[in-house]
Amino acid sequence: MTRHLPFDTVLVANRGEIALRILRTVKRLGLRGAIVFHAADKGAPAIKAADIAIEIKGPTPVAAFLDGAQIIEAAKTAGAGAIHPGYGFLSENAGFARAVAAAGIAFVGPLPDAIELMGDKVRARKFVADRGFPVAPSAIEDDDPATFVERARAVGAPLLIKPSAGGGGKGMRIVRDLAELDEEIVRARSEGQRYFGDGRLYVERFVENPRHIEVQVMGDGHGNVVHLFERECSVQRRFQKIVEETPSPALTPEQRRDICETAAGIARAADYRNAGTVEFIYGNGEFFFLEMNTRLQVEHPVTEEITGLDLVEIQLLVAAGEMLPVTQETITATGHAIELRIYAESPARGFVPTTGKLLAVQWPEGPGIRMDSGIARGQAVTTAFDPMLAKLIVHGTDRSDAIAKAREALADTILLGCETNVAFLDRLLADEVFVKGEVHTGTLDARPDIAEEPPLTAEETRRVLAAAMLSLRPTRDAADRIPAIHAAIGAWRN
Amino acid sequence: MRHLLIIDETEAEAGLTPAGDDLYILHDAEGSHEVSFHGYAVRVDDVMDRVAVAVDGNVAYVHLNGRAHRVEFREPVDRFARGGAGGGADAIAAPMPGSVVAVNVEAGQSVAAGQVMMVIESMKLETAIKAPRDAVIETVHVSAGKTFNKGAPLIALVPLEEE
Amino acid sequence: MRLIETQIDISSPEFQANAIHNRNLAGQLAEKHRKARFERPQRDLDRLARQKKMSVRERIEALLDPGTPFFELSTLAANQAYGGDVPGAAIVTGIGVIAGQEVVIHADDPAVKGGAWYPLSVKKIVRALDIAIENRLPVVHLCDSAGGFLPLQADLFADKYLAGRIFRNQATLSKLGVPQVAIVLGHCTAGGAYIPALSEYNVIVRGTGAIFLGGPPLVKAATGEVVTVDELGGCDTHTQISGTADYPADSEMHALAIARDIVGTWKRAEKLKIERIAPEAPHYDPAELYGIIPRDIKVQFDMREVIARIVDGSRFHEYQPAYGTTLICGFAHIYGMRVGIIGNNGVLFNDSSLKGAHFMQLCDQNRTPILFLQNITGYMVGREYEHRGITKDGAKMIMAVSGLEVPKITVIVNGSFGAGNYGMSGRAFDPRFLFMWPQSQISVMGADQAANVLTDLKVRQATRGGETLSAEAVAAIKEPILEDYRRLSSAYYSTSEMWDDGILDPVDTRNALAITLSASLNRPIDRPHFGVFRM
Repeated sequence: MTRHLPFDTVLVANRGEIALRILRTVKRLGLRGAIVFHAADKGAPAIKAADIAIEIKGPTPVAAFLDGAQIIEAAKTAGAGAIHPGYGFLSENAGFARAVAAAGIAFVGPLPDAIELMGDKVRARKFVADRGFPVAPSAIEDDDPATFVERARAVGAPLLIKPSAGGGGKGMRIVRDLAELDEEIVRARSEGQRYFGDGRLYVERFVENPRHIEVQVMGDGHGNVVHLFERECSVQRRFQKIVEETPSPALTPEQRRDICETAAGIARAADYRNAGTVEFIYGNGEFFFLEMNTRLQVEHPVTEEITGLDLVEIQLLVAAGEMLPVTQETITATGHAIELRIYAESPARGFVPTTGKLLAVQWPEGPGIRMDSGIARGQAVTTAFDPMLAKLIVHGTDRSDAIAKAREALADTILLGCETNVAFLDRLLADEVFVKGEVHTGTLDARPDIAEEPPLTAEETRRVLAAAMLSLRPTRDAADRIPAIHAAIGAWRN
Repeated sequence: MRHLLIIDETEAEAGLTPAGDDLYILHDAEGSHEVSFHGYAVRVDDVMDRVAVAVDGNVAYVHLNGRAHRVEFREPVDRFARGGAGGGADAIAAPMPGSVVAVNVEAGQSVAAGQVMMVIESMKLETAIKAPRDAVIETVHVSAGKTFNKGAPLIALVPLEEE
Repeated sequence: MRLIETQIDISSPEFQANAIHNRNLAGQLAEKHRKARFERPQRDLDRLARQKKMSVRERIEALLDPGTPFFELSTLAANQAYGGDVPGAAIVTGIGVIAGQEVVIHADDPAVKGGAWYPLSVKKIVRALDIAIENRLPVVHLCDSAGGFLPLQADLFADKYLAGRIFRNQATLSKLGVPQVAIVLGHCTAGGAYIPALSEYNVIVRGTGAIFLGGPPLVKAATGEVVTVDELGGCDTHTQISGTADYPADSEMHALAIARDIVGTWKRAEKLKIERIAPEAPHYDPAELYGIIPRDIKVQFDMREVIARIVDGSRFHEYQPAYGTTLICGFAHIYGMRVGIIGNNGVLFNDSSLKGAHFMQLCDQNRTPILFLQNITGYMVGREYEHRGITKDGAKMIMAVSGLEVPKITVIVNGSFGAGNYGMSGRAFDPRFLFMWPQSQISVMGADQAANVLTDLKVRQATRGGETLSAEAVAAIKEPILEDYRRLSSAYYSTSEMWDDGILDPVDTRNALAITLSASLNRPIDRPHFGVFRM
């Protein structure tokens, strides 16, 4: 498939798995792939995969990737007509998007205005609410103290009262019955006064055990906007997603239709171009707009798996000014996909990032298994970048099939030299709370036992010891020095 | 003396003896087991399990049953030394005659192994006097500018039993 | 080689009675071993605990490679000396594997009289070092001794094989290129100071270890100088100032770990090339030895039945099976190592003596170590045998056994009487090792025979006046003689005096032979050559 695009070279302004994943599509489309890299990533597969690799520098490795001018310069050097920013770094930087455009290079992403609008959380929320889309009701006392109680009542139960000056959960009160609202406001005010010397309050709808559900949208700037169904990303630790799946096990078909159409509506209202994700908070059968991410998401592969579409390809086509190659009617979802993020971290020690040298890397293979990884054996895992090493994406006929596939794939995943969360992911997938689809954003805090490493059994310890002692030079050499006769006699004493 | 291996954060002591034909006997706390390792699998008694192993110096990483374990071999000489390899004396004596250039510590102060406690000069060469182990300074015998003979006491550390 | 077909009926009453009797003897041996190793006065144990010292047994266990044997020698040395107060002669010796290296361990036992050296302690150390020299085995010394036991100094100091011999042997080992490491875990005073000093490597424990010719009290008495133990000869003094000691250690375990690391750097000796095959366990259960050894030393048994329960696969190639049948000769393997075996199956006649001398020459020629299994009452006496030259035929055996270059190991499985002891490689003929079984006896002649001779002498003296003695009176003379003779010819007396290297539970014989045979192969041997055989 060769298309005539206004550019023949695409510069990837990113690293790791996403850089490799973008390059894959770039090359499949018959385009040249260029990449910028920092010395910290020397030897990374993405650099080898690119046709052109240009080194960028900075006071820190991350700073190099945030240096837009340097990257645009690199794009010119490489003769790139488009820059794909991936996620993170400059992907949602309106200034960069403008500078790229100003340099006569296509920015593979939304227009700067859309980035700006959605990047300002307060503006975005107002934009969405003003157009009649659901946002979590709230009331700020300071807006108009006279009407506060009235406005608070309008938020509806359950609601959460917070001291305006508060923090750390102090003075927060949940009200489940509006009859108790007046009383609770009095109490909250006195607590706020006591803790913070400030009795002013703020009220918002309380979503119990909230789930994070987001919808992938795509617009072409020619008036066409489609959604590519939802993704559920409720399993989080330290506000970062670990597991994403589609479809969400929480939604009824009606709710799915509602939430997807809402997302498409918001994108349409913003005349959104390129790939975006509308995030919602979901609970008690209700969903509210949270924010919109104006970039390709880490978890986009699950959407690709169930729709059979290549989101990066569509991004590039749209960036080239083409119309969407699909219509809402032609987009269908098949089966169930789950993405598991493999991090260099220690779940048992509060998910702290870990470092090391990857001495062995083995990824699972097979039908329905996709590995998006940007690391290779011999590479050092440092704290210079995000600790995500790879993403394992599985596609099954249904959710239980996908879970089974994912667990098989995890069993075949071998990463040695740096502690990872692979075993934790398996424990999570095996846990009833996940199997039943009853996760919410607080699940891992509520279930710290999942993060704990179960102790090795005596049999396992013996196997680990045997493998280690027969591989380590000091122990193996010591054994090999022992004369055969004495070894055969064993620990005999006369 | 058994080997000490630290599996993740748990200590395990074991011995290994050869049994011919690439077979070995593992002697652990609970008894003896015939073991062998074939690069991709480990056999203990009559049970064979798939494993992956990668070695980095005295550390072996072992992947078994979907979990990766870090197994560190502890050098026995280091393991039993109180102040690091080779041990550490309580009395720090002058290695050669010379004069004191700088004194960086005072009595009662805690020092970490390897920390420079004093700098001396001898034969136009400056030498750092480093703490042989983590310790508390008992006495500093000399001050800056003072000369001393070989073997003269420079610093005394509080003996470990008394800390 | 053929699998020996046993003639023993293990269900016979005789076998069963023997088994009960000999198991009982083995149990008594085990109990004596236990007491000699572990029973110590509480006062001494408390003192060691205060000093944070490990017991000598714990030290040795920590030193050895896990999963490997320790063959302790002369455990019951001094068991009949010094009122039984000095178990093991206050010394532990044995052969073990450290960092893959076969070594002799010599360890002072500080829980016995502060590790003081008694005359038999000195003999035990000298013997351990003789073993090291004869078999080229490196030595690990665990030094923790109060020094020579002064009240008995005359019996331990001056003569050729007394204390000085320890140091002469150390120097000899060094000259032969056989390394030693001494671990100073307590005081090494006076002569004891030379053990670490004469070792190529030594490690000293800070706080408890000290080396000096004279301790602080002696220094004060001699010169008036007042000095602390540490200043005089402690760890830092010797490792930093005098250079008498090499490696400072923070604790006993640290010292043992350093010593293991040192031993791990030693080159292992090239073993004597003998015929070897894959080891095979004996086909017959070695525990059946208990039922084979008769309850009465005068009862004969077939040595082939013993061989069948010691050697690999119970397989034996018998040499000259029809000639000189009172001496069994042949080849077998122990843990895969080819050995020649010479075992008694009765009194030695002219033909059996000639066969023995011939077979020894054969083994020396084909470089096969020889195992002697003694159960011998002596050479045949009488006109016919003298006319046939029994004395010169016995002399041939002695000439052969003395001239052997290949290693010899002797096990006295039952009786060892008279010149038979010589021809069958007794202690005087430098077998690399010599062991006894618990019921065995050793003396110039059998107890009854000797008691009769001695009783006759006394009776003759008593009846010089012409009177006759009643049977009761004769018995009263004979009984104490017999009792004393039995004690002095018992395995326990032999081992107390170190005429042997220890008493073996018969079932342990195979392992003991494997370890000592392997040890014996460390020393290169000369080409076969002998003295003049009287033909």
